[in-house]
Amino acid sequence: MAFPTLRLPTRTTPTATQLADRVFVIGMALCMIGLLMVMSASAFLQTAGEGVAEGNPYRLAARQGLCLLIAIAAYIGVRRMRLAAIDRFARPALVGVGVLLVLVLVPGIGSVEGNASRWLRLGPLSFQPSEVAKLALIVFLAHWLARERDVLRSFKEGVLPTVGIIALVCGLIALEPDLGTSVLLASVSFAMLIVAGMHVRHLLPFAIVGLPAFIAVMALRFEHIVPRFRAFLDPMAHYQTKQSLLALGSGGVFGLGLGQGRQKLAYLPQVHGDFLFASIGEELGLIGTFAVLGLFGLLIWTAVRMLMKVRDPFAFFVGTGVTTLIGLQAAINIAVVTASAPPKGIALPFISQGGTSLIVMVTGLALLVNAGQRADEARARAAGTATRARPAHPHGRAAIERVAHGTS
Amino acid sequence: MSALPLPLRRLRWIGIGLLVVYGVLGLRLLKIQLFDHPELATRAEQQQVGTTRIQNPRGTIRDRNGAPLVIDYPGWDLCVRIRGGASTLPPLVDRVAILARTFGTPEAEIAGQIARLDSAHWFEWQRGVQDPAVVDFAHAHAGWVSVTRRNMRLQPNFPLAEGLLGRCGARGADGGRNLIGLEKVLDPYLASRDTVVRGFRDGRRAEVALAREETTVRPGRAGADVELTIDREVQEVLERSLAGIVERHAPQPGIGGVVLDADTGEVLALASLPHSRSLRDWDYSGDGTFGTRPWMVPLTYVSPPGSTFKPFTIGRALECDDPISLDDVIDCGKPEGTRGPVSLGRRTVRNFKGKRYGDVTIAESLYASYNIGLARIGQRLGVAEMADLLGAIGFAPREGSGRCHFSLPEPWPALGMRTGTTSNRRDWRPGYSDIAWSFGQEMSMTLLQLAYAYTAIATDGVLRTPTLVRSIRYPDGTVRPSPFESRRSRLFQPETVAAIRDTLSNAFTAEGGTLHRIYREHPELFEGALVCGKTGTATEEEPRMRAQLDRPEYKKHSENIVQLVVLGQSATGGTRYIVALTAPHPTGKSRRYTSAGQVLGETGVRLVRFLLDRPVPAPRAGVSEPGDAVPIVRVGNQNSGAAIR
Repeated sequence: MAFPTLRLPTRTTPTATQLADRVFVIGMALCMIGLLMVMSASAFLQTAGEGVAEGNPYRLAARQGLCLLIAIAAYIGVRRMRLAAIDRFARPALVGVGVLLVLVLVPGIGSVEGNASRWLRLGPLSFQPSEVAKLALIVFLAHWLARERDVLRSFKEGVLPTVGIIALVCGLIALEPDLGTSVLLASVSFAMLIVAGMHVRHLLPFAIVGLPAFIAVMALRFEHIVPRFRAFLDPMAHYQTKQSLLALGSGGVFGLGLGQGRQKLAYLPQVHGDFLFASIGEELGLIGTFAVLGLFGLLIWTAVRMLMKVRDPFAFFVGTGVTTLIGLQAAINIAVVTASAPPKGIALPFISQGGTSLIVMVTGLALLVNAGQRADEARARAAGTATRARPAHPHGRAAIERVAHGTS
Repeated sequence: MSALPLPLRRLRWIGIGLLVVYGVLGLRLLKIQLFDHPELATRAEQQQVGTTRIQNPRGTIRDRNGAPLVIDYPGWDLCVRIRGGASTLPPLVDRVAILARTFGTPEAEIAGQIARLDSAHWFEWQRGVQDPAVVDFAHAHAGWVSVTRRNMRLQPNFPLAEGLLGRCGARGADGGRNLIGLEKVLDPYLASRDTVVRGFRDGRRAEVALAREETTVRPGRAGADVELTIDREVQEVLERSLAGIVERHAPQPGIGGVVLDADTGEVLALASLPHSRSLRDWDYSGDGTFGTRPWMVPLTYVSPPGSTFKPFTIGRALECDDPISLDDVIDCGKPEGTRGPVSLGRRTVRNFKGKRYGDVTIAESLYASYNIGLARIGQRLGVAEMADLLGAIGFAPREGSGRCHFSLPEPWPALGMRTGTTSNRRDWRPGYSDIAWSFGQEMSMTLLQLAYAYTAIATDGVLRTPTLVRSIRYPDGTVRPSPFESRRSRLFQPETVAAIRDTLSNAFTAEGGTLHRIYREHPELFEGALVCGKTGTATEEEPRMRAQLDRPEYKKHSENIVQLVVLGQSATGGTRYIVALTAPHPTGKSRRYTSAGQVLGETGVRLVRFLLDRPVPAPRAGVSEPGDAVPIVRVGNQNSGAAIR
């Protein structure tokens, strides 16, 4: 008498490639939401005369769409590149970005707008070197950590030189001044170092001495720092934060409806840029903000799961850096919009209007996806080698199936 | 490559840390969007919803035939507000070019404005425009220029507008701001009420074009249209006539003219040269304060009526208790000089150019305007009778001033009309001042007040106060009569004024009449018409008359002002017109007087001819013909006479 056929329920674990695909889909979903909301938020500004002469209500949205197309092209390009090739360019890339960060500070070369010199113009094109520096520093750190993370255990020989490079890049960005980006980049860099094995106690000297000194210097050097901290303590006394809260609050659970927001009518400055999340809250309500927050959370968690399967150190640290960058930047932006942090102009990744930011983030996404998909390829290659070298595991799935079918 | 295993746990903790942060942010969002939602939504609405006043058109001022004299005209306020951080603005050079084209202002001026503000990004400028093309251009090319609708007042007829219709400010309907002239007097009727709308506004408090949820908080209404008695055609002819006087007679500035419908008291035209706007083009050496108030010679310029007052003296003499007859003979200075010129106190009254005419009829002394004859009649009437005459015309004592004042009812005082006066009782010259009223001295009045007095002579002895407003037409179609109705009072009996008119017609037709030359040279002007008139000369009162009247050294009768009143009616009946003109003397020399009188006289007659030759306007409903029912006014000693005594 034969045993009845036993079919065990199977719970398949997604492969790194599948997770990478999910990361890509989530990223694109955020981009689409961003494009839609930029269109909604900027249409009024373009017609009501916020300094634009053309009078085309969808001018900013069209530009954002064009930048998205460029970003997707960059995504495809980076996605097809071998990580090893990127790894080789890590040092020259950082040096190049360093030069750009110096150039942007040179009067006459850097474009000054609103008392900050953040832009480099090349004919009709312009970009922010600080945005490019985010990826360059992440790639460089990944390159360095993949090889030299053993020395991180030593404060003097490992941590200090690394932090010196980070401080140099972040310092140049802070001089623009763009304190938000420099703090963000420093945080991402330290997160990568911690993941790579740096002792948490090595952070203490920087936390105790470096951070207060940095804040004090910045507060003395740049007058707008102190009022921003005051605004954090009393959000309703700060115009932009107050308008942001009113936008979010008036949206309620279901929102006023897409395109029906009122705070974008010249109440909330930068509504199409750094404060687009407030407009989402107003027009799409709590459902919309939770959806965006959820998508970011899902992206982070999917990326972490994917990176858990990565075995290539460079890919792992690049993925860690990009994931942390996206996650932290989104968290800071939402914290500022919800008055949970002092006001600071940091774009919401994939969503806020801004060409350089969008292209850099999508390129980062490409690096992340690339890391995941290369992981499966490497695993497959490794598995192929192992199959040839060793017999199949007697307790593997094939053995179970044999038992279940009654075959020996 | 490092041989250490990858730190997967630490990565997981980073991920978990980020998710925890997201969780906290989610809770924060929950608080803001769920629990704080009512309060924040209310606060947001409080700042987003605002009331807007939508300006409704102010009433139109029309002439008696419905032709618009003042209308509301759509206009816009273009306001530039550029503040710091305007990264999306076009470059400064382009901005200046756009502003220059928008406002029609030279680029250098705009660049200067910006430079004065010491910032390329902070700029605020406002200007009203009336050209829709400019607004379209601003919409298309300068989105940073805000455009607000604002009605403006268009006055196509500047001379009339400046002196009579007045002006109103940017939003004249509210609070009487910047209102002068008729715009101020008639503001209760002309003023519109703004519609107050509650709706969404953008952060700059501008109306949001996309807003759909608007509610009317207070409905507005347009202003009522006002129909004046002015006839635009007559007004234009009168203005041209004044310009013609300037051309032919070259007087000093200060010419005025009035055309009245004597039967109704309606003012058909009221003109002044110069008017306010052209004052700067004239070498006006008088009192500079005139530049700050409406300038309309017939209203704001007072002078003694001079010989134009003589018909009233004769009229009273014909009706007094001891009446005279026009055929009575009176000594107007015999050649032998037995009685000669009349000595009044320390003054001697002479005829024009000192001529002596011997015994003439009273009628001739009137149409030939012999001062000696009128002085003798004045002596016969006495000051009480003359005071009673002045009181009947409208002079009334003012407590403590020592003068009698002559004013017309509203709206004239509000339009800046000066009051006529008698000279101060304290400064009367013994023997002279008692009699001087009889030939129009020691008193002053405006041209319109003189024309008003002549309504009694032009009609059947009934004075009719001049009116300027015919009706008020409300937006709902309701038509109400003028709030300033003409008042009537009898001054003379009909037969008296008929006799005076006959006598005054001799001023043209009789040899020796003051205006006979016009009849001789242009007889065609008098065909089929009953025309009579009177000229007069007087010392310029404004700005020096009052001072001169009060000065004891005032000795000599001056001829600085020439006045003329012409009355005309078609031989077949119909409307009776009064044309009154005044012009300063060109040089002050008497030899030019004849020329000045002839120029004014011919102008007056031609104006009357024009009025008579026009198609007869349809009779206005509700206007009753004057008749004997109007009681004669005998104010006696209880009025001006008592004060003078």
